[in-house]
Amino acid sequence: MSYLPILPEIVLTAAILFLTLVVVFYQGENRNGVMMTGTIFGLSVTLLTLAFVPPFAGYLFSGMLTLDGMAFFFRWLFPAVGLFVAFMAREFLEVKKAENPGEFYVILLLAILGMMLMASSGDLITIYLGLELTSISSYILAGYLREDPKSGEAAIKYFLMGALASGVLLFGMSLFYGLTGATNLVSISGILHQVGAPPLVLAAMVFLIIGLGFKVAAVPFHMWAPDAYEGAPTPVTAFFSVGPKAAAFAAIIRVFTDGLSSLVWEWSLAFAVLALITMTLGNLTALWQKNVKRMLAYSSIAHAGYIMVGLAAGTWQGTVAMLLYLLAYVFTNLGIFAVVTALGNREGKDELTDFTGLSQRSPYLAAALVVFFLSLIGIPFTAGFFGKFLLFGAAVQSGLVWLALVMAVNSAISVGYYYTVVRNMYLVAPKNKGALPVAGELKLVVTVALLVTLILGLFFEPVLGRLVAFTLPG
Amino acid sequence: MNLQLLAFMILSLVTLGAAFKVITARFITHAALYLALSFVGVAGLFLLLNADFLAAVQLLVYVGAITTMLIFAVMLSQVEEIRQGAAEEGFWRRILSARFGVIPLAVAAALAGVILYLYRFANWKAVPVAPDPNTTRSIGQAMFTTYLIPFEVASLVLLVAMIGAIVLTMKKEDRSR
Amino acid sequence: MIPLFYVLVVSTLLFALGVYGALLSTNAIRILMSIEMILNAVNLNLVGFGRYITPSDPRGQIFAIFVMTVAAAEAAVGLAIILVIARRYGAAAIDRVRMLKG
Repeated sequence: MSYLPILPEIVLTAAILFLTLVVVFYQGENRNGVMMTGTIFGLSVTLLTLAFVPPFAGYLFSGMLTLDGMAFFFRWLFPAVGLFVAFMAREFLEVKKAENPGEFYVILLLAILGMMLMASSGDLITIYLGLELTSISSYILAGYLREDPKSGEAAIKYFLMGALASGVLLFGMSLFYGLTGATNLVSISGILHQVGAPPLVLAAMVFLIIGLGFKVAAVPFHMWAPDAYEGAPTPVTAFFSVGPKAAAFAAIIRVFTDGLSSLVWEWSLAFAVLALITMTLGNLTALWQKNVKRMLAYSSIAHAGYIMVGLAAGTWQGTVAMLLYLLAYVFTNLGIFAVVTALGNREGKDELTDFTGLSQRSPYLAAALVVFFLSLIGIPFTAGFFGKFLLFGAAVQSGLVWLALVMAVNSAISVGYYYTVVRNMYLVAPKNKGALPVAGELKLVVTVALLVTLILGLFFEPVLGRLVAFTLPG
Repeated sequence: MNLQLLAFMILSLVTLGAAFKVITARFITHAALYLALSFVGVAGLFLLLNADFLAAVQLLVYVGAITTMLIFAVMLSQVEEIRQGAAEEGFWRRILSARFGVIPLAVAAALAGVILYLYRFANWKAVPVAPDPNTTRSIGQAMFTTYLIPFEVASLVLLVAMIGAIVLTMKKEDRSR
Repeated sequence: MIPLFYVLVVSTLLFALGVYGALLSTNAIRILMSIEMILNAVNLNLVGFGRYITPSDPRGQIFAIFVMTVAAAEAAVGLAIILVIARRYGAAAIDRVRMLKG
C-alpha cells in the first residue's frame, strides 16, 4: 500500500496541525497576518506536491479512495479556492474585529481537506466523512462573527438544515448498503446492474438526491441558502457559493455516475426536473433582491441549476461540461465576491445601493465586476460562455432540447439583476464620494480571477482537451 | 413467542415511546432525558442484533456524552426560558395549526408509509448465520486496515469540532492569559 | 431470531419520528434532538443490515461507529452555536426556528 499518491492531502494535514499549534502558541500582535501567510504557504506547498507527485489512477486503501481525472481536477481546484478565500479573509476579519482571527484559517483548511476527500472518495463511508468534515467546518465559519446577529442566525439555520440533510442522505446510504451488502461504489454499481431497478432502490435513490440536493441548494431544498449566504461573513459566503457547492457536485458525480450507473435513466430525469425548477426559481427570485449577498445567493442557486443540466444529460460529455462550467463559475464568483468584500469592508451594509458610482470610486473594480457578470451570463470570450456552450451541447446531444432552451431563456432573465448592479455602478451618482481604498490582497484576487476568466474564455480549447483526456471513460 | 422476540418488542416500544415523548414533552430538559431513554433502548436493540461492542459505544457516546452535553448546555445557558421551555408553544396546540402542524405530519407519515410498504415487497438476501462471537476483534482489525483513511478523517472531524466549539463559545478575556 | 423486517419497522418509525420532530419543533435544541433520533434510526438500519445481509463483514457496524463519531462532533458544534446565540440574544432567538420557512 503506497501513501505517495495522497501525499498532497498528507501535506495539507501536516500544515493544518502545524497551524493549529501556531494559533495556540503564537502570542504576537499580528496573528491574523501570520496565519494568513501560513495558510497561503501550506496551500501552495499542497499544490506544488500535487504537481510533482507522479500521476496515479486507480483505487487506493481497499477502494476507499478513487484517484482519476475528476479527482485530480478537484484536488487542484479546491486548494486554489482556499488561496482565494484566505486572501479575501484577512482584511475582512480585521475590519469586522473578529475575536479569534487565527482559527478561521485552520477551519478553512479543514473544510478544504474534506472537499478534496469527497472528490476522490470511492466508498459511501469516505463520501460521508468528507461531506461532514466540510459541513461541520462550514457551520463554524458561518457563525464566525459572534457579535453579528445575522451571522448567528445564518449559522443556526445552516446547521440545522445541513444536519437534517445529512441524516436523510445517510438513511439513503444505509438503504443502499442493505440492498447491495456493499458500501464501495464500484461494488454497488456491479450489484445494481444485476438487481435492476426495483422500487426500493428508487426510493433509496430519492433519499440520496434529497440529501445531496440540500447540499447544492437545489430548489426546493434551497431555503437555507439565502439566509446563510446573507448572514455569513462575506469571504465565507464566497467560499460557500463555490467550495462546498462544487464539492457536493463532485460527490453527486461520484455517487451517481460511479455507484448508480445502472439507474442513469431514472436519475438523469430527476436531475432534469430539478435543474428546470432550480434555475428558473433562482433567477426569478434574484430579480427582487435588495441585498447583494442575497442576490448572489439566488444567482448561485440558479447556477447550480445550470450545472445540473450536465447531470440531466447523463453522459460523460455532460460530466466534462459540468467540470468546465464549475471551473468558470468558481473563479468568476470568487472575483465577484472579492469586489463585494472590498466594498463591504468600507461600506459595511452589502446593499445594492452601495454600488452607486463605483465606476468613479474604483474604475478597475467596476470594470472587473462587469466582466465577471458577463461571464456569469455567458457572453462569448468569457469563461462562462464556454461552460454554458458545452452544457448546452451535452443537453442537445442527449435529446434534452427543451432543457437547453430553458437554460438560454434563464440566462436572458439573469441579465436583469446583473444589470441593476452595473447601472448603479455606472449611471447613478455615488452616495459616498472619494476613491475606494482597496487592500492589496483583494486587488490581487480580483486580478487573478479576471485573468482566469478571460484566459479560459479566449483559450478554452487546450483546457477542454486536457479535461476530456482526463475524464474520458476507459 | 420466544424470549428474544419479547425483549425486542419491549425495547422497541421503549425506544419509540421515548422518541415520541422527546417531541411532545413540554420542558426541554425532560425531552433530553427521554432522548437518553430512547438511546438506551437502541443500545438494547444493538445487543439483540449481536452488536455488543456497538451497544457499549452507543451507551458511552450517545447516553454518556451527547445527552449529557445537551443537558449541560440547557442548564448552563443561563437563559430562563430554555430551561423551562416556556417560550415554545405546547405540542398539542402546534399540531393543530395548518402549516406547521399538518405538513410535518403528512411528510413523516408519507415517509414511513412508503418505506414500510416497499420493505414488505423487498427481496432481501437475508441469510441468518450463526453470530460472530468476536465482533470487537473483527471491528478492530477492519478499522485499522481497510478503514484506515475514514478513521483518520474521523479524527480530523473531531479536531474541527473541538476547535470550533472552543472558538465559538470562548469568552473574550480567555484569550489574554 | 428476530425477522429483519421487524428491525426495519422500528428504524423506519424512529426515522419518521425524527423527521416529524425536526419539522414540527421551533426550538433549536429540540430540532437537534430530533436529528439525533434520525441518526439513531440510520445506525439501527446499518446494524440490522450488517447482522442479516453481511454477517461475516463488520462493515455495517463500522459505518455506524463513524456515524456516531460525526454525530458527537456535530452536536458539539451545534450546541456551541446555539449557546452563543442564546447567551447574546436571549432564548427567544433559538425558540423561533422554523424549518419549513425560507
